[in-house]
Amino acid sequence: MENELKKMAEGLFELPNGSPEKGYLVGAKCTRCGTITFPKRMVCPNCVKEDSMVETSLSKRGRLYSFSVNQMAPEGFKAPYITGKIDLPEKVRVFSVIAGCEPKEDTLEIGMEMEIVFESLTKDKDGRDLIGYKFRPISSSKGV
Amino acid sequence: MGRLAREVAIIGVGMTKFGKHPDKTIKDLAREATWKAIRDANVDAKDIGVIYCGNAVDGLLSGQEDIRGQVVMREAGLAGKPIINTPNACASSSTAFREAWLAIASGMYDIALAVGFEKLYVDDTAKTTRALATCTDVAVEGNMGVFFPGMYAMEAKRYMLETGCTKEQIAKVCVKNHKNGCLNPHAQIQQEVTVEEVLNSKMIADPITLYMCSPIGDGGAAAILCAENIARRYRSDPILIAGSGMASGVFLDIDIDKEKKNSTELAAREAFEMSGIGPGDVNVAEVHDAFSPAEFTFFEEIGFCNKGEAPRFIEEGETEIGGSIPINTSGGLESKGHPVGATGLGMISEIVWQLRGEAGKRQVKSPKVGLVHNGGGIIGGDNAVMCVHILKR
Repeated sequence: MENELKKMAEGLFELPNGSPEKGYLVGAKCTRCGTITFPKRMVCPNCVKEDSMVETSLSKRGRLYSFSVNQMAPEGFKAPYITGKIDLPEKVRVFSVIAGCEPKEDTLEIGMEMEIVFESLTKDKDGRDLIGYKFRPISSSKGV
Repeated sequence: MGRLAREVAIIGVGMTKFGKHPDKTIKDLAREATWKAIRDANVDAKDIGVIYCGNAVDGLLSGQEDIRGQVVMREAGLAGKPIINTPNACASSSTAFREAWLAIASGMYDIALAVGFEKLYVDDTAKTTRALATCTDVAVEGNMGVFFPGMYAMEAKRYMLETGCTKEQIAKVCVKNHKNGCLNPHAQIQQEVTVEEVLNSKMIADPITLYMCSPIGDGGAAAILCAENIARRYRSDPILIAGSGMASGVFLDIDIDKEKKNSTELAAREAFEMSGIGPGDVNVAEVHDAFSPAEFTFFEEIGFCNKGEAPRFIEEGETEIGGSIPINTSGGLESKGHPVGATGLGMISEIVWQLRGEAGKRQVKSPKVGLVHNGGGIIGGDNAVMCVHILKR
């Protein structure tokens, strides 16, 4: 009945039961030193050894490290739009498009709490939605 | 750190005017820069032992995905010699320069050519932008909506929050570099701007406005290096390569610990240690100002001052041509231009001219030591490639 959602890229996140609401980022954790990476890596960048990295799911919320309101956009994206970096509790900094707010300087503040959302990021050459991850201010999800 | 088998000097440099050259191909740009350097060095081109060619994205723009160096060097009359391509984003030609240095230092070659060339202007900004976006990790940034100026704007916002740096101070960097560019016959943009004009120019990604961005353009730049002990056969004023440092981005997206050093800090430290020279001994430097605010953060990370102090230097005129630590006398990337594959050797040319006393109206008073800081690409919150070179008279 429902078409399976097409992901922007494989290996970066999971959508359990095809559900965007249950989605989470997939990173890796070193069983030796505890370093966590996103995306998942096979070799620990801290220990510089193999065979110690295991997949791990990452937090859905983090703090806004910084953002930019971009007045031009690459192909597949529409300006103005916001990109940002979010610091997750696992000491991982994730780049993403920012959703859920007007593309203006005053709608975001560095340090704001953000939550991940999985939705269409762009479209493929056949016009099909490609699902990716974005972060949005927590307050923007209230009252929905 | 290891040791060099022998010292290496620069005996020739040359560059084309950076700018929009619709009538020139990468073959023309590479040949022109190469032969300017050959003439400057007084060498017989036949004596060049090895060639390193730096170009970043010509594959995506003209289709010449591979063997770029071999293709352009045939035009320059140098086919047959060993030619190595060194694509490393905006640091391609500093990489070519470093490899040429190592080749001679090893004792294997006496004379080497390092040449960088790029043709970014294809009358299709979207195409150029797409090509440059491949200088990020395409899986997690390039295909995810990354906007290059936005990446720098994010760091600039953060810097302003943490240090109190203002937009006006960032604009003053832009004003300085444009003023210097007017004195540089090779600069793409030769037009002075005021703080107001910079701040009122088209917004790209706050706080970065159009004038703060390096322009899209074409260019070539080259250097002839040789073993120091034969340099004086060619020129009475060889410039010594005192130190070289290189690092790749340390993926700061996975470790926010302030103890970790980024690629600028690592590359600069290696170059300073190797040369036995400290930041305080540097008399003139070219710093990678792809966007104006980057000049502040790089200036601090190289070690010219502590974190947060860089804006004071621009306020007090210390980074002007007549100041205590002139930065980007060439006009910087913002004004001289940034045809990415050629940029590093363009910076090296400027420092060589400064140290020789050949910088004309941009001449700094009696510099003995110069530094070239040239980065490329973005990985996480860091540059993917970083090269720092220290040159001395």
